[in-house]
Amino acid sequence: MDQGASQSGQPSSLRNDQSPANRIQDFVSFLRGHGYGVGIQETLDSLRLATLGNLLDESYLRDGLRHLLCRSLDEWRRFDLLFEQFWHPQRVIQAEQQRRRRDPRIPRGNRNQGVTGLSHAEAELPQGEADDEPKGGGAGRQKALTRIDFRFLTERGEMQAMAQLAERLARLMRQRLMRRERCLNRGRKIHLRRTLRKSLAYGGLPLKPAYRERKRQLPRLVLILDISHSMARYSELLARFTRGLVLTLPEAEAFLFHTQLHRVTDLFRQTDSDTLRKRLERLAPLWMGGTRIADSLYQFNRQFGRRLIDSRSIVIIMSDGFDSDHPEALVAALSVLRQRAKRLLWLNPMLGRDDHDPDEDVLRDVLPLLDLLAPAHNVASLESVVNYLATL
Amino acid sequence: MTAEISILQNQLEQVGYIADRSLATALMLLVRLGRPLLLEGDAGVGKTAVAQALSEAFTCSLIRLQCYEGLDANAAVYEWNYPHQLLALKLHEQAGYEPARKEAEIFSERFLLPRPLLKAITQEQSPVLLIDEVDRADEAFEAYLLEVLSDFQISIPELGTIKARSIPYVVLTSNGARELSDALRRRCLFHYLDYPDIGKELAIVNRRLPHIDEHLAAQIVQFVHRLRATDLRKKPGIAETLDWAVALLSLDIRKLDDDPQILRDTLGSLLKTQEDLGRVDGPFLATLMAPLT
Repeated sequence: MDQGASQSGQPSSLRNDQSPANRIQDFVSFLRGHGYGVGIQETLDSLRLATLGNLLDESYLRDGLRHLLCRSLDEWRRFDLLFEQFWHPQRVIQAEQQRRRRDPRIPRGNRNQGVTGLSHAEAELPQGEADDEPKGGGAGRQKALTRIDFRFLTERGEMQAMAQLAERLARLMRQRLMRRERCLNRGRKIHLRRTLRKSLAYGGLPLKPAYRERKRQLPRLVLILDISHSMARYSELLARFTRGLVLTLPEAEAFLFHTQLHRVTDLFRQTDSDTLRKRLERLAPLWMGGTRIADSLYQFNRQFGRRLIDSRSIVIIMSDGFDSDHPEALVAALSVLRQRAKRLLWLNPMLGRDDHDPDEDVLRDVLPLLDLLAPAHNVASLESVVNYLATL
Repeated sequence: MTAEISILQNQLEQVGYIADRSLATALMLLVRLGRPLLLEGDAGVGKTAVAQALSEAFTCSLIRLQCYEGLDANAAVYEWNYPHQLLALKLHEQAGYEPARKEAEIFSERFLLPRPLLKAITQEQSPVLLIDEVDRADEAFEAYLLEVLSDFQISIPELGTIKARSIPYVVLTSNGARELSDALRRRCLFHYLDYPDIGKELAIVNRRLPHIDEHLAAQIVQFVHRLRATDLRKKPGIAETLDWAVALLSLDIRKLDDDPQILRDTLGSLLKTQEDLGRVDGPFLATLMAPLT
């Protein structure tokens, strides 16, 4: 494919015997193989680039294809490397060899080993990305996945599929919460367009006015997720579910807690996966610690309660309830939320387990304060919660 | 087209927008392929300014549709002028018109109030249509937008289909408040607008504030870049850099290290949350300041 590194700055692959159109088509297929959802129209437009300018001008070809074939920041950021791999594989191999020679962590004997499988590029993808693709698929498999307890997910592919389901559910929730304006025969607000239409039959007199129902305002979701050690098997997927909600509902707010509370709304809104990864890594030491639910909720009430909780707010606490604080403190913190929020929900992944033995005393005090106490151990249980919220 | 890209770059620079070659290529493809351009990037990197600069460079009108939650077709496409229609109905009543004629009269173009999308496709000369912050609109509106951007025609039940007289240059911007649908993304060219590098931002400051001292401009830009590299809730955009430069100029500051107190007092032009302002204490400011060239 490659004729050696380009000296003139033009894509070296274009100088071989294949026509530019064929090479561009090959490149489009190459990108598809790396997860770019390039359709026929984009392929045709890419081919039109040849008629619009000089394809031997590399910056024109690179910029043109990038604008046509990328759809997200993630694809935008990966594009340069994939472009290099396809059009200048020799250059990438040389760069990789140089890097290996300079890297003191690679044993001397292995430093000159070639980079295999460049055309497939798994080796070049960020770690974990190549095996992130869900394996298998299909509706049947998805349906089965919705019932699996999160703690039994061990394969990377299953985790990925589950995370996608959780995010899709979050998007679905937005749709369910939205109500389009409806035209009614009774109400308080006149639907002028329909009224005018109806009035034509009466010479312009609005004898039978039409009314419209006010568009339903989206509630403000406040999601508080426990990331302590005891929640380890659930917190990652619940965090994906939370992030899905934050990304789809503009007013949603997200918090993580263990022994302290951290507001992560802005972090979760981050669509740049690189930045998200870096900032999550910075939070990593906080995960897996102990739990102080009451303290964290008290901190929430003090710092954010006044600003975020009102009659439109639905507070969802996701925790297993293992707390090192006194139960009275938890009841006090929940009472404050109960008074101010529209709804207070507690999702407990342990409720889906047969071996769960809740503390009856705590439950007796806490239960009256909650609108819903529900399991959250699999996608099906999250779906039930979404359905419940849609009825509010 | 390579030469045309350079010409467009120059045209944009003449109207005060410094565009790199990649962005100029995207804009040229927008013109040549007739596809909308989706600009993504943090708030304050100059996404909206691209559309404004493009309309100035092409000397055509700029039609802006600001998206928000709850935006519907009535606010974005067209609306009937109801009071005038009611008035007309009464007049037609007195004239004794037939119901069919009455209907035809009151649902005619005379009573139609065009909103940005309809306005954009009924211009004689292609305008720049800026659909700003499309991520704030609902999915339902996004789906409707997709239809308009595919066919460039709008169906009004009472009037029929209105086809575009000229195809507008469509620029959509998004801050990533919500994930846009795959269908909309596929319809558009995509360009990610990042914060400018030091050279480009310096050129922007010098272009917008021609009287600023070169040394001060360089210090300001360097300082802002260091500030952006820190973990802030809201990173300062280009507009904030320019605001801060104007604030410092109006206070007769010649060098950033002249007066640390004034520097701290004016940081409100750069940082927009109490949390971020609170982070910039003495030692933090010292690390940002030294050594500025």
